[in-house]
Amino acid sequence: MPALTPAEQMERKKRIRRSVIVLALVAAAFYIGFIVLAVTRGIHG
Amino acid sequence: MAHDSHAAHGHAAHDDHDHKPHGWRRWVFATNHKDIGTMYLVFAGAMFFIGGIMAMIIRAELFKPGLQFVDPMFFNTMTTMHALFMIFGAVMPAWTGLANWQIPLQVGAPDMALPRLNNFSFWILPFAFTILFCTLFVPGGGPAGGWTMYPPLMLQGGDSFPMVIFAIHLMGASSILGAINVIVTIMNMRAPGMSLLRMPLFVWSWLITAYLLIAVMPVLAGAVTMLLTDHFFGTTFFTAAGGGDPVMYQHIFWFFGHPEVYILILPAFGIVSEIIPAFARKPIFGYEAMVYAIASIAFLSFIVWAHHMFTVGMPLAGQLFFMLSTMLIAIPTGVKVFNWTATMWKGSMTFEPPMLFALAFLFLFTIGGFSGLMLAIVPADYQYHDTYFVVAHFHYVLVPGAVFAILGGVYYWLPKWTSKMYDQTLARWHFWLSAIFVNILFFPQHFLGLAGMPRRIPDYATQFTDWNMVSSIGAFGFGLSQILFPIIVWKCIKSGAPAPSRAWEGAHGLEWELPTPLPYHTWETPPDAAVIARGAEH
Repeated sequence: MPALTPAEQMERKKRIRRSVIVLALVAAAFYIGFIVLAVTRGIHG
Repeated sequence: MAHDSHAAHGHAAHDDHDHKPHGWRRWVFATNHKDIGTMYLVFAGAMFFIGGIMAMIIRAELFKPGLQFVDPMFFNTMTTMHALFMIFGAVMPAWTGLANWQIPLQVGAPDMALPRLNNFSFWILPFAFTILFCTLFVPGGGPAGGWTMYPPLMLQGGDSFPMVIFAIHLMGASSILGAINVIVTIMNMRAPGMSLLRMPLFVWSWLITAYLLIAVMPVLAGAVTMLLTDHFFGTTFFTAAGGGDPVMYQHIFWFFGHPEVYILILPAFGIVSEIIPAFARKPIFGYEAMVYAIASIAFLSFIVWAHHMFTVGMPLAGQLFFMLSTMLIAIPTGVKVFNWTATMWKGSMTFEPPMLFALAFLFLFTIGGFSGLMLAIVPADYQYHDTYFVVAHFHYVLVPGAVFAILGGVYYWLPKWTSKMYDQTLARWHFWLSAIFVNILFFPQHFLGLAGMPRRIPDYATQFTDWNMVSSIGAFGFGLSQILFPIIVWKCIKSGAPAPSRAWEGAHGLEWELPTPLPYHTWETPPDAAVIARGAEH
């Protein structure tokens, strides 16, 4: 099985970058989402 | 086999000395997945022994009633720190170490997708645990409110409070970055032909674990951030006097906490699914069912969190929902246990150290699973809650469960990593002493819990004395027998006999197609279809 061509490597890098951004956004959404949840549902003024 | 491996591997076999940094730079600036995997495993081992010393202090204090060695505050600090060190410092980094070593080898990738991020993920940990350890020496002592850090107790902590919160944030960041790396590696770096349903079950178990980590570690970070702002910035998220709700913290914590339990155990399912077929010399029974079972367990882990809170008070419908959803987990878990058993059925079994640990896992983890099922029953939980029965339950899941699987995994792959075979007689001693003492340590705690002994106390009523003595003797025996492990590994590295490239006759998987000694850079040329097909015989 030959190694990836430069074009394939570039495409793989793009896919990796896209995946990282999506996963980081998911993590950030859980972090902020649960704080917002605590503000809206947890505090009985 | 060796010539196949070299052919499959192309030129990589003779460039193992290329681009290999030397001295301290090799470790500080490490980007090679094998080096980072080694660092994670060594770090996890160190934390295991530090957490173990804390456990010995706990069991020494509980050897007999009355206060013997430590004051109650320090005892509470020890229970809290023991949990934090073992969960975040020992078991989770050990899994990440195994993932770093094995995932690229098993999917035919040259390295993790993000090597520099990988280095950063690791090096966060020593700083986090140094900060956590230093809390023992600040005014007010270390954290003493339990690893769950419930308010309002946690908010009354001394100078250690912000240090603990910072350390938890660092550990969470390390785990999230590591999980992102695992997912993007598996999804983007697999060799051509390595389809998802050809991946080894260890890789599958880690892929699902990584998704769990990304979903729940930020939730823990959110919870402790709110604790921090309640303590220092005048918010009242969890302070009833300001309109907040302390029970909300418990919901948020356990939304993290229960999936966290599966983060600790799912990779163990993957390891056992590698070891049992190898030593039964049969393909795993029901490969796809195993994948779906792991995924089902991961999904269910998100909808069972309040079973930790039955005694806090909740509507009857809530109790019923969380009781029944928890019991549902027994179904995919049962699928796994029966599939492992069916794999062994009529197999040509041999009992080398990795198989011994996997078999002990199968029996003893099942005991932990059954006691979990007992705790899921609401009226029964009202009796068991906060007793030693709970301590026995989760230690059966985590010690002969997760820790035995880690030890089994290291004994399975150590000959591949070091190209040398360890002293199997000594490893068998390690296994038998561990297996005997772990039961002496934890089984009596079921009796103590059923008799009503509360957890997290330094002193107890005299009727609990006998089983506490037995449990403490088991703890000292288990602790001492673990000293064998670093000795075995060190002896293997220094003077082990050369190991063949396929160390175990029945082992399958791409890692065993590689030559031994393992080149520093592997799979720079992806394996061809025939090698992948041979490696994926499951």
